[in-house]
Amino acid sequence: MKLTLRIWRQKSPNDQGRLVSHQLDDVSEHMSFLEMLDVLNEKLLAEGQEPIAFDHDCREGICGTCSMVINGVPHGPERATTTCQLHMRKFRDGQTITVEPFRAKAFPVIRDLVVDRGSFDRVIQAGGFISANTGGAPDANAIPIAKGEADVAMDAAACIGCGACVAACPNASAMLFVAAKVVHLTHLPQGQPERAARVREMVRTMDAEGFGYCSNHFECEAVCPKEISGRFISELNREFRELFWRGKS
Amino acid sequence: MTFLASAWRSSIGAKIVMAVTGIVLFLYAIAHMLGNLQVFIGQDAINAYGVLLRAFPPFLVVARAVLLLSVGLHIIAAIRVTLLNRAARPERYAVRKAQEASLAARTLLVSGVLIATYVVYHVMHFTTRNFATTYSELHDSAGRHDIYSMVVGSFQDPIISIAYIVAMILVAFHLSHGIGGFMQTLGWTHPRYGTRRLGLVIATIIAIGYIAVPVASLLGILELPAGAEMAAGGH
Repeated sequence: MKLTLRIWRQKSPNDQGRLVSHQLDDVSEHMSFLEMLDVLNEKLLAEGQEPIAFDHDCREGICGTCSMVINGVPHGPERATTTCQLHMRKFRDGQTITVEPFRAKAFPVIRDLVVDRGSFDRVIQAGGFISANTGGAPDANAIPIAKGEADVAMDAAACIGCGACVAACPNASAMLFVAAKVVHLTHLPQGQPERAARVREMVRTMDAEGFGYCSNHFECEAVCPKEISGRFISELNREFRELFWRGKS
Repeated sequence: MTFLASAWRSSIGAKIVMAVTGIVLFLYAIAHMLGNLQVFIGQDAINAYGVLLRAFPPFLVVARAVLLLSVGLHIIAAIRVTLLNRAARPERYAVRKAQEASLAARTLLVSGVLIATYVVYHVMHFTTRNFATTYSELHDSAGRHDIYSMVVGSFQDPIISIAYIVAMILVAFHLSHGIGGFMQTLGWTHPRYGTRRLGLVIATIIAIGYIAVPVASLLGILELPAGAEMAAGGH
């Protein structure tokens, strides 16, 4: 496959940045998108140019590190798939592909396609955990949890924190991420003691980090590589509303 | 009050203000539509309804206050949320492809501004009657303000009717996103039943209810009562 790649190049956080076109003539359709970028980087290095910086780690769709917007869609055109699991067969020979970093005030660009998603870590630090005494691991089934509850918690826990929801949201809102983390723990007995504080602090931190406000477009759900449901946002709203009624918001 | 202040500052709190005031206006839209549809029962019904609404003045005062407050808060929350959302993405994408967001969702601000503008005109036309048309100030045989003739007579003018129909389509457009939106924001959702299509269905029903009146007036299904034209002519 022959491809024209328009890729965002930005030297540093304060650099202006711009889209730069690169030609790649010998792309195998069996390559993943990241392997294609590896090939492009080898070519750039051979030509004595700076390679393109991009985030990647596991390359098997579970770590949430790869973060780029491909032709206007975070993680590219294939639904429920991370960029590392996206294959070049999903593109046409001769196609022009525009690759941009995730864009949000809360995700500042560090270099090229690499953004700082430390804001997500700070949201988790604010309440996305349970406090438990240390010691031996408890027996697996010592705390009975109803099947339905366990299923919801597992569905929410599938979030890998990649930030595609923020990147896709017209408002750069982090509601799907925060909702997934809140709902995951809300449906488990271990999550109950810190339930109210978790919602309050995670929402407060989310706002302080400069994420936008959800306006129910459901773009997040559409691009989520783990297909986290937008109805979890509704559940987070419900949790927040309860805080409000109890005067704890 | 501190929890109210912190709720207002919070993103979800601002959305709750948006949702609750939206519901007030949504319910008003339904009530107003049902009121309007009484023109199909006849001149007597709608004129009596007009008298009924004004029979207990405190009701009118409270209703208007609640409506004005809702409109005001809805607009303030909308401006605030929009500005904060713009700030949340300082750098735009070169290429952006919407996956799920409907046109109504993406143009909520535009439809909102147009509706607000139309409402000002509409109130000046039918409520405060600043620019009285030929049929604005008639009275029926019982001596009541003749709302029936005012409505039907006004809507016999195609320009007034078309402006009204366009505005009501915008209302439906706005509501088609808004209804699902307030249900989502207030957490009124169900794992099995979606709310997104529900908004479109309810909004369409409301639009049809409103548009029926000008359409029936234009088609002559609703006719001016005998004497109205003469009374207007002699005005």
